[in-house]
Amino acid sequence: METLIPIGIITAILFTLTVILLIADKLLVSYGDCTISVADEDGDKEFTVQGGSTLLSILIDQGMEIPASCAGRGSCGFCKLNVKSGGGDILPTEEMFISKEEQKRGTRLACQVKVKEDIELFVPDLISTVKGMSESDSFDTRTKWTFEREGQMLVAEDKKTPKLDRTQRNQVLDIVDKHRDNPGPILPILHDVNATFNYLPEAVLRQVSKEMDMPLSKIFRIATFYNLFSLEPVGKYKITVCTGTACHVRGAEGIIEAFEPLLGIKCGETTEDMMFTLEEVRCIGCCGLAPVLTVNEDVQGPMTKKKVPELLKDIKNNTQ
Amino acid sequence: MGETSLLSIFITALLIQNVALYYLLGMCPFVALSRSLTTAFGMGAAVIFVVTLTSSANWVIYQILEATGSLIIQYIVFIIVIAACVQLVEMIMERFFPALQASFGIFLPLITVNCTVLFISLKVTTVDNLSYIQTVVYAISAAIGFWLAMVMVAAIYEKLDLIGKVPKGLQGPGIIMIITGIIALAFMGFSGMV
Repeated sequence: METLIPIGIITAILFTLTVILLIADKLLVSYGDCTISVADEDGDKEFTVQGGSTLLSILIDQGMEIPASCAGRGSCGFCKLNVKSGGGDILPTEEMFISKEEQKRGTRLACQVKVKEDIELFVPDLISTVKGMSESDSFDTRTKWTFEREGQMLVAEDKKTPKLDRTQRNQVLDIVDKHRDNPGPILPILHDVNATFNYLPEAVLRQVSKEMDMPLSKIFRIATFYNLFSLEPVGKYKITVCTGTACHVRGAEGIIEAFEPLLGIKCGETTEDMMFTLEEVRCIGCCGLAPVLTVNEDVQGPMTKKKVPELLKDIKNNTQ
Repeated sequence: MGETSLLSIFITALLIQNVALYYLLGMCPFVALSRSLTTAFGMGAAVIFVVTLTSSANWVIYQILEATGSLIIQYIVFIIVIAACVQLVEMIMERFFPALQASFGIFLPLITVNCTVLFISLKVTTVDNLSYIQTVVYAISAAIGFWLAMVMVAAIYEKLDLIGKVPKGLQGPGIIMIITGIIALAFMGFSGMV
């Protein structure tokens, strides 16, 4: 009997509090039905949802692909979109990701916008978003992302996606057909595309996305993860200098510096005749040969500064 | 403390035994949110609301528990009530001050485990055995004390930030700790008042 009293009291208190919270929830949090109209690549959409949650979760529920690597905590800054009307004022948590210029245009982070009223918005396409990022000045391909941009970021770009000609289209079709039924087909497809085109052209990725019925963002995610793939055209010979710990200690910087004047480019660039691309990579797993580099798939090591001109001469002779 | 006047309770809780500066309780949100006057102000206000509500509710519950001889569940029940109150505050803030709520981030739900809140509930019941009116007065003044300490530290921090002469290693929590310590020393001067 004595143990029953405390249990009874706890139950009673829990029950009362639950009722109070439920009433408060009904009175305070519910915002009724809100209409969200979305304009994006594929035309306009409109849907009605129960208000109260964030725009990001609602859009994801509706099956839209919004990049948000931080899962809506407002720390990655990827889920940008343009809110035309509704959504309230910009929050302090967003200010560090959104420049003054973008604020004027109504850019918000989807994960920070609470849906409380009808909202009208424009969702920019991922590829053009990232392209805009890479074109703005503060972006440096060698240091991954920086978030301070004053540039033209989320302006919808003119649709000038280069078209593929018939042979190229057939090539892509062949590649896709070859791997279509295998499990995990996308990586082998990208490999073959890379072997055929020497890089991953945007138009090809778009076609692959269409053929495989897979969102472009997913392909983009895979394509940007691996160092092997490049979204920009690369030279016929891709010289990749390892700057992993072992190679760094044994003078990888010197090797890169030896290449730069000979090729007339900086690390990360491609020569104008599209022959050479010079890149660095963290590790290629040949520490025994440090400092080591690869020319396309051919491993060269251990390298010295003196061997650099020789190597270039060899490559040029082989081409002729 | 049965016969103590309300004024002396007010002064004791506000100045002499300030929860933040005398007992050094609730330091986590204290240090984290004392960097700007606006957030410190808001956090302090939220604490005032929660503390007043929970202490007066918990006092009633304590009497029931004591009467039924089930004081064993005192802590659990207190925490449950506090958690519910914080939920309520969060809903209210979300509705009426979304910007403030966003700048609090994780610290608003964390009022639940802010030891100030549980401390005051326990002190008025178990330790001091205050009457209901005294409880309410004590809770409000102790919470105002917390708010006062936070706002003072935040104001000083903002001034220092403006001058910009804080050494690199001390920026942020470091200098706030030092400011808190100095103000706590100053508050020791109140100790003879009541």
